[in-house]
Amino acid sequence: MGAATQKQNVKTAAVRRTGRGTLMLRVVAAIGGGYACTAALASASAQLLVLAGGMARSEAVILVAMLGFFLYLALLLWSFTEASVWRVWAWLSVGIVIGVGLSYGLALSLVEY
Amino acid sequence: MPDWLGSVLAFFLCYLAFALLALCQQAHRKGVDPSACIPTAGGQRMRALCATLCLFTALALLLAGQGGGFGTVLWVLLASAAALSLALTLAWKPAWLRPLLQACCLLGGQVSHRT
Amino acid sequence: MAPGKGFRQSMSWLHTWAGVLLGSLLLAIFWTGSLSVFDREIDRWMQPGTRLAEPPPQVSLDRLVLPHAKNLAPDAPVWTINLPTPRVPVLQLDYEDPQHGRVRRYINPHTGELIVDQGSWGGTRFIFPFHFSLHLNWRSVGYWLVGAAAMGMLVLLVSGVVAHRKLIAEFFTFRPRKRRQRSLLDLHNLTGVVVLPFHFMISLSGLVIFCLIYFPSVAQALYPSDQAQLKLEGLGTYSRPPSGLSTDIASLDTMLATAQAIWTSQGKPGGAYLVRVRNPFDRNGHVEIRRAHTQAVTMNADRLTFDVTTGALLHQHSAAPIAGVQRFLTGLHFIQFDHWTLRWLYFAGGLAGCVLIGSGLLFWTGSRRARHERQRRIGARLVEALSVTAGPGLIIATLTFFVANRLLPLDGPVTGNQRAVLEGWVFFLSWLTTMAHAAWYPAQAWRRQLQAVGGLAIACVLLNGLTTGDHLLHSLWHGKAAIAGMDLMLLALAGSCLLAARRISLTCQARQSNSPPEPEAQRHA
Repeated sequence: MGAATQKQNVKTAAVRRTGRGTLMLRVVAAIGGGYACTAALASASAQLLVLAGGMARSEAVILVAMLGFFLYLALLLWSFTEASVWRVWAWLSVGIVIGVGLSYGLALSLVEY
Repeated sequence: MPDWLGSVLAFFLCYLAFALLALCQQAHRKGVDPSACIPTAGGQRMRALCATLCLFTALALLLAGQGGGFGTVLWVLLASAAALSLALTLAWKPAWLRPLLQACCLLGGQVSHRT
Repeated sequence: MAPGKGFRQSMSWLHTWAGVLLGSLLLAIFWTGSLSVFDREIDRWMQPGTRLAEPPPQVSLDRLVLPHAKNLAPDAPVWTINLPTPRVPVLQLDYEDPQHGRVRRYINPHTGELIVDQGSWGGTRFIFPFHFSLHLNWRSVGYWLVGAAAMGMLVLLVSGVVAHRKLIAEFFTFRPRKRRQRSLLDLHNLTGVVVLPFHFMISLSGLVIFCLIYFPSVAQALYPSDQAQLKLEGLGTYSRPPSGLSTDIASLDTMLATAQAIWTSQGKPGGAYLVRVRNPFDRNGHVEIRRAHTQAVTMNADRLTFDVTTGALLHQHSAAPIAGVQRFLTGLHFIQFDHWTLRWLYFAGGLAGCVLIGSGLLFWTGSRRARHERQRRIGARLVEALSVTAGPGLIIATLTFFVANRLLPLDGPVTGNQRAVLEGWVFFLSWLTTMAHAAWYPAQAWRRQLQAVGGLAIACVLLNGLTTGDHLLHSLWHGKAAIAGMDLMLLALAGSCLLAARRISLTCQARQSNSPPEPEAQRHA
């Protein structure tokens, strides 16, 4: 193996290491972050359906739980097609923050139910 | 008519529909009969239309005979079974579909293969 | 191929990786799911004592079941009684025993006598629970693994369709006579695209059944302190704590008749299928009666709860609209309805799913094997070993489960639930053995294990005839459809697997005679 090829192999190895790291970040984002985002937005949506939509509680729980699978599927697929891993993390975090924030906020209004 | 007969009829309607659609594709036409006629654009549309009609007739048959829930589920599954059977026919016994292809050619809409 | 570099390429990458990682698990779920379509027929085969004739149209629970319940489980907090049906021609009494765990006893609906404990969990309590929980009950780990696999299946279906460049052009294409990789890919594409509605529907509906388990945060958000309230409002599961005062049980038959009358007046056909008595001897005990769902796809949630002392109606429930959709999807997956054409189509769909997953795994290992051997990577070898284990290996495990059921004596040193546990051990130990075999002998693993399947399946049919006297001709003659069906399916399995094994060995022989003999080629024979 010539010196040039050896340098190429070292470079490929380094690229492969960072590539693997980025991949791990993406996988964690997709599976873990995607689920967290779905669960957070789902909880908030269920509360909104009851408070603003006047839906019965048990109905809202079941509707949102069923639709949650579609949202999670979409997030999973998007996480792997989006070019930048950081954008994936950013958008999922936004979703989680909105979901959790709304949930806490609306929880108080639900106390009388 | 008894339920099982309705299902069998629906299966064959779906099978016919998918056979017509497959015979719109050149690769399958060649597989069934290399010397068969080549359909015109109008002929292709006719075959596709017949296929769609067959599929919808099958659905109507099942809905009428077995109700909304069972009818729909049965139609979806029978359609898949029919499409799969057709693919296996094309793979192993393409000659069985020759009569259908000849009927399509006879019914018109073809370019003569001598041209 | 990498994620984030173009839509189709990302989907292709995702499809490959999700397939490689989840393929074996999905294969196990699809196989046990396909078997579960006929779980009650498997029960009849594995529990010969329950192979009774058609049950009488009306049964008296007071006369037939209550005496046994009071005798066997006087202190049990819950008695669950399943009424006989054509597929299950016996009365079922379930209760929790402090010593033996969850016990199921069968009662002859004609004579009222208790059937000898069959000591087997059969299809309904071994194969079916494996399908949705993998028998991993510690902290619901099994449920979550199956759920993750189901989500993965949805991802695989969508990414597979996107990555398939010639979807329309190759819609009906299957070329079995081309080279192996081409034929495998054709088969994978065919079973994937043409049976797509079934695969998507079955995966989604499976998830929807457990939607409350998979999204606990939603239930928590709306019912922060009272999950029992959710069960009451959503499913009609009424409950009240025991009072500590004792009482006698009112007539269950009267309650059944009342339930029937109420449902008929509401225009709902069909009678009850399940009666659940909670705290039977307590003043606050109650009896829940559920309406049968054999006439429609939807697994209705029509439930009536009666007071155990007076028989008065305490609570009525039927599903609200959205809950009804969830029950429809649940019913779509459970297929408890009375429709044999659909039942067989579901079975075929499940097997098509097995072919889909198996062909995908075979394609991947076939295309990576040479490269990984050169690069000394274990990826292809690992996936190949896991594929064999989850494919023929799992079938072998199932068949040894059946063989053990026929060979273990009913009145030996091990009876009841302990005997059932032993059958389970045979299943898992033989599965482990197939994995070891696949890891040790990669070259001949497929062929040898397929041959083993053939041999074991024939052994099962012979053992059934020898140990129960219901051999195939006998069961066909007397119209015992479940037993005959099982034996015929076993023979079909044997035939197809032995044929497949033969094809593999012929292909290997042809390959050997065509190419000049090298150590490499001989090792792969």
